[in-house]
Amino acid sequence: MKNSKKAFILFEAGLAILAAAVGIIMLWGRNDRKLDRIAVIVQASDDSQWAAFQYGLKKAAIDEELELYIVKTSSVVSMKEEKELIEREIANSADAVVIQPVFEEETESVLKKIESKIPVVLVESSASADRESSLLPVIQADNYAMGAAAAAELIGDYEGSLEGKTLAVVSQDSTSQAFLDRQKGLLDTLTDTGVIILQTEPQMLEEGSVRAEIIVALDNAGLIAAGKCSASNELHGALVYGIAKSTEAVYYLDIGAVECLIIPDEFAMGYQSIVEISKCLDNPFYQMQSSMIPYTVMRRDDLFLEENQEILFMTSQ
Amino acid sequence: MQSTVMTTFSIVSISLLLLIGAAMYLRFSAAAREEITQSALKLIEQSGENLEDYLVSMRRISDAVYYNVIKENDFAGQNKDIQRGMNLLYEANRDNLRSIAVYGRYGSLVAAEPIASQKEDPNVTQQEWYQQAVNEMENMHFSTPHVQNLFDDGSLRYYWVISLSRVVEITNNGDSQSGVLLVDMDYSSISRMMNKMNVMNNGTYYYLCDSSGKIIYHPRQAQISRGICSENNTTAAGYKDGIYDEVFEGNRRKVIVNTISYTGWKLVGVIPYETFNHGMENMRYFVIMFMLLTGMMLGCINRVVSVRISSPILRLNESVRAYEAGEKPQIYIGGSEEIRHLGYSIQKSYEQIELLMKNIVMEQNERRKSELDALQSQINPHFLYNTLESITWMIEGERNDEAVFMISQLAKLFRISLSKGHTIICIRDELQHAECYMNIQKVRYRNTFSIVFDVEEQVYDYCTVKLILQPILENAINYGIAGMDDGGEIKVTGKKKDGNIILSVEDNGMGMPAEEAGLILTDSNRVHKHGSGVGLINVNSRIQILFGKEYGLTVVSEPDEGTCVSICIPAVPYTEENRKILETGSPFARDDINMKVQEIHHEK
Repeated sequence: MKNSKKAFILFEAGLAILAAAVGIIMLWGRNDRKLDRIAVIVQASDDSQWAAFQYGLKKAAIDEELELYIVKTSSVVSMKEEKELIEREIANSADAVVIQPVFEEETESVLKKIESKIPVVLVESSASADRESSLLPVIQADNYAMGAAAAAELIGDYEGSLEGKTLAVVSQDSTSQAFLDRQKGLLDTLTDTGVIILQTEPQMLEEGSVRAEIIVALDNAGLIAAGKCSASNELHGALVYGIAKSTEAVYYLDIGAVECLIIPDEFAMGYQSIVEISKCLDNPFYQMQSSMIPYTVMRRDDLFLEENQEILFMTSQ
Repeated sequence: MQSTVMTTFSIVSISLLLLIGAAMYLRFSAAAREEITQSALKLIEQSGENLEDYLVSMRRISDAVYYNVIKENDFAGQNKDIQRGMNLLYEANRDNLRSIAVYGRYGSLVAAEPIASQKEDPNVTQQEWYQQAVNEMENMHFSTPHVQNLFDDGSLRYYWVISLSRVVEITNNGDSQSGVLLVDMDYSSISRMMNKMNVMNNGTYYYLCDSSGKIIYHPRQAQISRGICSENNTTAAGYKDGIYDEVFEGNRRKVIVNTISYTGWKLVGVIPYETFNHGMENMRYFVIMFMLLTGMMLGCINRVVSVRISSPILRLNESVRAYEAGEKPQIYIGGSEEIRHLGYSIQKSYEQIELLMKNIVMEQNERRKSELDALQSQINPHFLYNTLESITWMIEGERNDEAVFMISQLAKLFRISLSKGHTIICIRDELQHAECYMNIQKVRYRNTFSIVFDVEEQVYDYCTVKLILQPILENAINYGIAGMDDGGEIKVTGKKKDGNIILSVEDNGMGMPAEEAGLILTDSNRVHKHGSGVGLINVNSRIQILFGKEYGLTVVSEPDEGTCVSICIPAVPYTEENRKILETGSPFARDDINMKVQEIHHEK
């Protein structure tokens, strides 16, 4: 009798525990699961150059079921400001950060400290002077290769006859690691061509104070300025080459103001950065990987090819 | 038993519960799957209609431009009217339109709305929409989405459009020539429509492709173009309208296809089977919860039912066991009607057994009593015969005084013998009876022996079985002193010893060996040889019947010395109550008397 009673109590208690567990699971499932929040900090976040990148971020966030927050920033952000922005986002319960690093001496160490709290992925360029040995995962185009590609296009167009030609390198931010890598790629390829290299800024182009036969813009702002000047015939017949990522840049290519345009796949950069973070959030032991995104060399004639139209689609978002 | 009942109930009920749960889950999951599929089908049909309406409206715009504007006017002289007409149509539909343009036979722009500068060299004749129109002049053609490469509106932007193109007849200075009418629809209109369909974030998605499978809209179009994911669009384009099951890249999914009329576009809905599972997750937990709660409830019910069934049986069993152990509990009567009936039956059978036992005891007592009476009744005729014979001799010998004495003694003897029919009398009466008997015998034996009564007075008022001394005295006369010519002595003594009364009859006759004395109380044949047949055995039996086996006679004898027969009976004071108790003759009565005797003994 006693055994029977004991068995009955055990049976009922077992079922009650199971029912409670199922109830908790049901309630857990009913409450909307809080999505991990990813903060994205890039310079001049509203600029059209980020359209494809942000489109990639958004698509990846949908695929990976993450909440995305793109921090509004001005065109110039210092490392100090960037650090404050990151800390503010962490305080606002950001679970990870995608950041375009401002290249300063202490940038990498500061970001490394932040990485000990939450996952950090760099985009556009690394925070390290040595592009081969970044302490943090970086999703970027091969800036050196893009610079080299621009030079190769240039050499091709001039059939190698660059001796004595003046080439102006234009860039809005000449301190960024991306610029330095691109410039290095460009200069390395142009070595021994006899071309004369000048360093200039968009403002100087607009002011018409640059006398060069070739303009190579190594960032978006530089190319738009060069394209704009070229469109309005203020470059005295100089040919414009460059690396950019906005529809404006494509427009100047379309109207013939720019000879050749190299566009990195910003969609891939945005998408890949979120995927890496998602893997890390899903598995804390996951070691995030750096990766190189592809780029496309575009000419006016092949601008509306089907494969290039997709790039236009991304940059038009 | 209870465990067995409960285990059986539990196994049966849990098995049923599992079956019901599984059936319920399968039924619900099938219904939910059907519902998801049907709602997707309805959404596709509804959206397909909306898309068709949209495309029809675009065709109407094209028709209106062609029939109401182009055909009605000559481009040479009525350019303003043409521009006005196109402007009206554009303004009325500007939310869905990007541009309306008319191109001449060689791709030259004839008219356009909104007015914008044409690009330097758009190379119109090489564009797909133009070639489609020229190649199939009788039809209107919808292109797939593409970047519009015609106008420069100064916004530095590129627009995604779907081109509706057709060959039109243009009148210029009265000459009729062919041209192409282009209506560029804003892709965002279709994109918005499709986005609305894809708001559900449950894994189901919808896409649009043309008849060759080329994707017009896909929620993951960018990922597909980069190879991050893929779509089975080419196969889907070959499907007719309906619902299909397919396995794509190892994933099972349901595909719903709806064809958009005129364009041949396919609106495709994809429901991965994980969606069904996702939708069924809550149902699964609900079914598990239902089964667990029902299991708990069934467990309680099983417990109550098994207790209600087994408890009366167990209680009945316990009462029967207690009865078997010698207790006399009330047999449990309770529970269901069958078990109550069983209880009643057992109780009744026990009552009957008890009644039978009582009857048996009573019958046994009666039998003892009648045995006693039979033994007792053997004395009287024998003695009476001898005495009456002696009296006859006396009267014949004219010894009248002796005869009178004999008769008076005989009368006294019979009075005591009768004792109002009582079996138990006091020792005083028994001694008197013995004395009468011996007086009669002395006369018969002509005083050849002497009799001495040496009885303590204190034993007079104790109980005894009547007529126990007389057979012993008879034996003493017959075997002890009958052969003696003179000098025979019989001594009757009585005393109380250790709570018992000892009455002894001692003679100085011939005696007998010890072995023979031992046989007197057991070997009845021997007694019959010499006596009347009523011997010491009878006396011993009567004493033992009434007082128990521990009481009775002892015979001590020595050849040529004499014999001593002692009677040992319990010292029970003679009262009416004790007499009645003893006369019942039952073993219980003996116990009662023994207890009383012990009490008295202790009091003293």
